[in-house]
Amino acid sequence: MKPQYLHNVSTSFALWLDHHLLDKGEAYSNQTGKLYNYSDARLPSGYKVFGSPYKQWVYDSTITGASIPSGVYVNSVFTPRGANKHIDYLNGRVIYSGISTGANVTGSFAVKDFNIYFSNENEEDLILENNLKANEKFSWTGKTYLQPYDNALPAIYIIPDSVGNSPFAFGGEDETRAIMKCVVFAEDPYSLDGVLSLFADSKQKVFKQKDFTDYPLNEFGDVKAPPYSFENVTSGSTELFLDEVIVSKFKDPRGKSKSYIGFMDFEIIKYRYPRL
Amino acid sequence: MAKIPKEVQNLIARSSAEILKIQFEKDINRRFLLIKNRMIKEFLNHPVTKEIQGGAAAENISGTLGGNGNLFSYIGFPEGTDPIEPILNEFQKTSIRFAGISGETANWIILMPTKDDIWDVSPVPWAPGRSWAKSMETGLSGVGQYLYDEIAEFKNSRSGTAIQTKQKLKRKSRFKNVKYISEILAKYEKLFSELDETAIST
Repeated sequence: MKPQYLHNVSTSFALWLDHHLLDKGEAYSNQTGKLYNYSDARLPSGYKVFGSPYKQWVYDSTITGASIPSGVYVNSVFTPRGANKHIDYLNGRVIYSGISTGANVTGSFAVKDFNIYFSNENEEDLILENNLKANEKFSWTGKTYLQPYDNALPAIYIIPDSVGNSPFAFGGEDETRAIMKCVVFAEDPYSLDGVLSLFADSKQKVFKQKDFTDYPLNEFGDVKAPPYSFENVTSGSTELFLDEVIVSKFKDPRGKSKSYIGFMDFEIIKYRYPRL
Repeated sequence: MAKIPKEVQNLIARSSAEILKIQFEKDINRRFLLIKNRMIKEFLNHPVTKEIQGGAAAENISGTLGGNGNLFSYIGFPEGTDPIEPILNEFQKTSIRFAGISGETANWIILMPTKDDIWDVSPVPWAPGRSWAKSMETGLSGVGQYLYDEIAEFKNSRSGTAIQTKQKLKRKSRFKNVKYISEILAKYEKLFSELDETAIST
């Protein structure tokens, strides 16, 4: 099946949210350090994996001040990404062939304050699951590397909720309203307040619509065509309008949440001809 | 034929307007109250309203939960609270005000709650920025139900655990959106605006 409007709007929204948080919120920190070897059965043989104690690295080159890695140091020699050498920004690691497992691998990279995930789970499952495993999911210093593929907190989960059309103008033009719900898991009240406040202020902003295929990362979590620039991808595309943004903190009457949780509900409008 | 002076004509027009205004105001007020009362009655008789007013023991007459549980517990309202009252107050604030007579027409303004007014007074207990009334139309997760169940379990047996609650949660049906406040407001906004068409010349 070819991508439909909800696919496109979900991709556009996720890329905008990530960019907005990093750009306006400066929600990242630059790190330098050693990467640790581990094995990953999902990868083709010949690849060696070296992971950091962090999850998602920043890959958007428009983020001023962020160290966007283009390679790592292998035994003190800079080794850029290339054929069979990938930087997995989603799992905070590099996947290189042609080096030994005992190599000394170091690098500099910007780590997101909040990992961004798409989720098909509903809010109650996310909250329940993450409350049970909150301590496991927070990255912490002293660890060598984080397991790949598992989600890690702090994080923002994007849940594409619904899309609906209502008549807007003669000739078949409709107002298409897509609802995106986000659940924010933060380590402390300061960062939760920061995220909620930043996005509450985004009401009535516009951002560019992209195609589902514009998603910048490949199957290794590496940038398809480096360097990735959020602004470049948006040029020439049509716009989406943030009609409503409602943010709210999770009030747990039991008082036993292990993380600080918030909700952000976005209503995104576009005027279009859905029946053409 | 004697010509009536302009000042006298104006005086007659003003006096007749004042006299007609009293009669007209009475008539419009009566018709306004009829519509307002119908609007409030429709809100109070809506299955969602009735189900929430039924509290934690109510049946799922709104059909939003596929017959499992009820909205009061699903949304997670604390026992003893009345989530309907603040919305009812907003509906009751609907009023008519005469804005005077201009030329040959009497003008009035009808003030009724907007959707935002209703959303503002209907916070979800566990996420106060959200509105439960709006969520009836756009969807609401079952977080409240999970919290409600866990508190109830804790109160009853002190043995409830999150894992038990999760298993129970999996068995419950998902929320189905229904038309609620937006539909009522849109319908009565139209009916109130039709009062305009009864304008009579003074």
